[in-house]
Amino acid sequence: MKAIANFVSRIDLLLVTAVFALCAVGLMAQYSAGGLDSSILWNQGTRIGFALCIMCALASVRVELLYRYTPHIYVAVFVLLLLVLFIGVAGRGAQRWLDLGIARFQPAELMKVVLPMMIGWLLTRSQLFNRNLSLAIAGVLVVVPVALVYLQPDLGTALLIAAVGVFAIYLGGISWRTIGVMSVVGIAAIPLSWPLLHEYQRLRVITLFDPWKDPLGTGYHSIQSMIAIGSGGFVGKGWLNGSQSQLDFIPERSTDFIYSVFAEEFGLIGGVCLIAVYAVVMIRCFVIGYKSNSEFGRIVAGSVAVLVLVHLFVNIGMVSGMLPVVGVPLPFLSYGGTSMVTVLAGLGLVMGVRNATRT
Amino acid sequence: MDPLDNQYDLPSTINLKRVSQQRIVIAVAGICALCLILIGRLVYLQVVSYDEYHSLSTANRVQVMPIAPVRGEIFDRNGVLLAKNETTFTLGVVPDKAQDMQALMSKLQQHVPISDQEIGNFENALKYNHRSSVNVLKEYLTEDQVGRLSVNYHHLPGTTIDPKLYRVYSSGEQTAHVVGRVSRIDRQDLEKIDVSRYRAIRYIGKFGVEQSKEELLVGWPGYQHVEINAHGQKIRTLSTQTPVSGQDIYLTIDSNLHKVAFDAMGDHKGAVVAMEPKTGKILAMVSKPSFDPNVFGLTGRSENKNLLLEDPTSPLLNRALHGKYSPGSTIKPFVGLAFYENALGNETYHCNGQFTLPGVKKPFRCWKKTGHGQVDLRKAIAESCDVFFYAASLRLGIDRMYEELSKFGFGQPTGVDLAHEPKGILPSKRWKREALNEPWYLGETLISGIGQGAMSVTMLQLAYATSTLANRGEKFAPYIVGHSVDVNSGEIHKYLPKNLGKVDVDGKYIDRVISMMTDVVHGQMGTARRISEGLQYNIASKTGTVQVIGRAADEEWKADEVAKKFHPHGIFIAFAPVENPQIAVAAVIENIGSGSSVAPMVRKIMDYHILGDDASPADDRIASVLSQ
Repeated sequence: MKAIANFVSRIDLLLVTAVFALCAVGLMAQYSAGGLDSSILWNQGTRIGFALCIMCALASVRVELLYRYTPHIYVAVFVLLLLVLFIGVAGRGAQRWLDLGIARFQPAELMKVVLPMMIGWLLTRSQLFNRNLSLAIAGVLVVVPVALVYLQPDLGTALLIAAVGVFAIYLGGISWRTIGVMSVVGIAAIPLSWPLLHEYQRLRVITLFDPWKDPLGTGYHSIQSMIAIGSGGFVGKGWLNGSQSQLDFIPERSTDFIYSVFAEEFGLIGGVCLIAVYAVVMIRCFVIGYKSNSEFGRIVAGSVAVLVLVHLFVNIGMVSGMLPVVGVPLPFLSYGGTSMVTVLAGLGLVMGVRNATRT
Repeated sequence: MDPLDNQYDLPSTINLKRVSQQRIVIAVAGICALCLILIGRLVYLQVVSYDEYHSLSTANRVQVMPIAPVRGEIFDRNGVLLAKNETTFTLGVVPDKAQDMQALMSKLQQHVPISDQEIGNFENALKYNHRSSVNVLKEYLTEDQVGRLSVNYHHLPGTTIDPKLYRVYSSGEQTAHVVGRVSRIDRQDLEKIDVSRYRAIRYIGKFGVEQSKEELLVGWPGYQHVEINAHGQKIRTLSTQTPVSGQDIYLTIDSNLHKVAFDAMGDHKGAVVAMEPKTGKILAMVSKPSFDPNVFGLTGRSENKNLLLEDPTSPLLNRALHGKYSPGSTIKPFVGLAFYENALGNETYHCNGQFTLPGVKKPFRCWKKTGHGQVDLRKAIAESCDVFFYAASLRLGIDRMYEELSKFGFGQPTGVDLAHEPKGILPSKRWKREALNEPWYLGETLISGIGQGAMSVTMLQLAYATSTLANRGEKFAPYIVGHSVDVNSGEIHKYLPKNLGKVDVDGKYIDRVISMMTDVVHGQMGTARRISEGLQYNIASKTGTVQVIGRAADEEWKADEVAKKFHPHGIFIAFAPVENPQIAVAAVIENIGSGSSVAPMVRKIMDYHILGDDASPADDRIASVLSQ
């Protein structure tokens, strides 16, 4: 009994409640998007269970232990990233997966969580040294894995890892002046990066501005998705009643475009509630980070919140026609386990941080 | 505890903790801001633009498929089909089902020829239609092509062969002008029509009855509301509204009579209008040269169309309705009535072959150079003496002539139910002043009296005037649509003869002029006496010969062919039987030389109409007359 009570005490109930709510919404949306096939619920339910186990496991481990082995973990994931480039399994024109026999997984996903840990570790350890030097090293720790992922090529994930890494450095206290300079350089580099983009990526950016130019070609995804969301209106068409979803108008509607299915059937009210629940998850992470006595804890908790934020913002921004179409899933709603496992692992870590603060 | 672990809680400098806490607070604000941006975008899509996306979603989901109504068919008075709908087959391709478009195209090319234009249209259609819908590749497949495609159907994935209706004119060139034709709806049509009514229809009536009765023929489209999925597959039919077929139209014309007239005219250019005097029904309206209206339809080849459009003999022109001719001497019976009405009918004049007008050097000639001697109106009409008419017209004056001829409808449209009817020219002093801004000369009065000069009539006007005369002055407006049948309800709508009242001319004068016209065929010296042979009924008629040479005097004189072009037109008006008229005819044959040469053709028409097929034995005799 005591062991159970001890275990429960290590789980953050607010986070878990929010996660369950999101998973429940996700299952409803999956059922609708999947043509009312209940086997989809079993598959997705299994993944949720698996991801929750990982979260619980990480929440149960003392975060100090993870902190201690952070460099080892980072190096290990880094090596996996290198391996992907050489012996990875190709799919959809990119080499992203490692085949473990029973399942495939993407080391890049691990990097999303491990990178803030590594930066947290570095900035905690290096407090006695030159701060700016450590921040510069942190920068290198970000750039190299981002470059490896970009080479796969997986621009979406690379940008996501970069965002999380940059945010970790921001939390580490990089000076506003440096942030300002980097922002200016970054903005100036946007036109320069245009020729570096692949043809299909450029097309996606052009499509963003004028999807009706080719409504049956490049603009089709955006247009159909916006029609689904817009026609949902204030209260939605009702669960399982979305014509855009049920009549196959939304492409990729189980995965990247699951939000369109949800918004068509549940309307603006449903959408605002959903975003609010995500906000609860993110803010809870920040509160835990804020309370943490450890630089590592603050950076990890904050970065996990930003990891959720970037998924949320990029995904909904993309399906609502604000951002170009990039393959970023919506954690807990999109079919498949990868992003969910990553985010739940991150939340497990955050719970670990909370537990370390309380003791 | 492991010393390393201690480092986890390594108390950072207070400063560092404060910095990162501050930044967490800023980040929370940032998260809230980004969430608000997302919500703002959703509000924009789901509230502000809701109506737009709602209708787009409905448009996605619900396809309104117009169903073309069946166009009404056109029959003659005896129920013979003149314009009907036939099934044609269209080759279409469903791009989604045809895996390899290139390969499919080359395979299809082996079975049916596909022009570059057809491929172009097809590729254009692909841009706007769904890949899972049928895109038209080739229309109007021949039976042979349908057969070849059907046999190889399983080698041609993604192809469809669909039936469609198209217009066939079974009486072809014999009724081409009067029935008219349909043609593809063009840009100009789109401005005039109710587009929603023509959504499923590609053709609209142009020319003839097809045009003038378009409103009756076209019908109303039906609609099917179908729920479709993203692949264009039909999920279910939401509602159906059946189309309303157009009305069938029964004309007053007799296609057999048309054929008789058409054949009688041979290769000559010209026109014939035949009417039923008691009703105003048009029995025949033939124009030659003619054309096969099916060339313009759907199976026609464009080079054939161009040939017709550029043909110098203008086969597309309906000479019976739109051809304007000088009436020549055929105006004389009507001018004669004008004489009677103005107390000039009993005059006699001496014809020595010419008539001189004081102050005009050049004499006005009679067609008979030796002269007719002493001439009264009877002789002047039967033998067509011009001098009599010069002299009497001079005394009548142009304005009184204008007034009297107006009574018979000259210079005005007859109001026939066909579009764009011209009104011809009935000259008067006022007309000349208004149209040409010139004064009237006396000489013009003289030549007006013999139907030359500025005066011009259509064969329909002439037939109408003849018909009025036959009817002893009672006018019936000419019309060509006898009745229409609503095929949906079986309801029949009859178009009744329109009695326009009696001409304001004394009946006894009309009787006298009719008896004079009877002499044209039956008199000893009548200009058309040749056709009296074997005639089983009496004909009242008048010949007319219209010089065309004057008009062309300044043209260069070349070869024989050109000479033929300047032969006079022959015009002939007639009605029969005189006592109880069943048919009134006006006919013109261009460049045939004289009005009396037209008479045999008109007799053939009358024989057929009055005697039926029994008249055929006379054909040989008439043929021999014609060949003289």
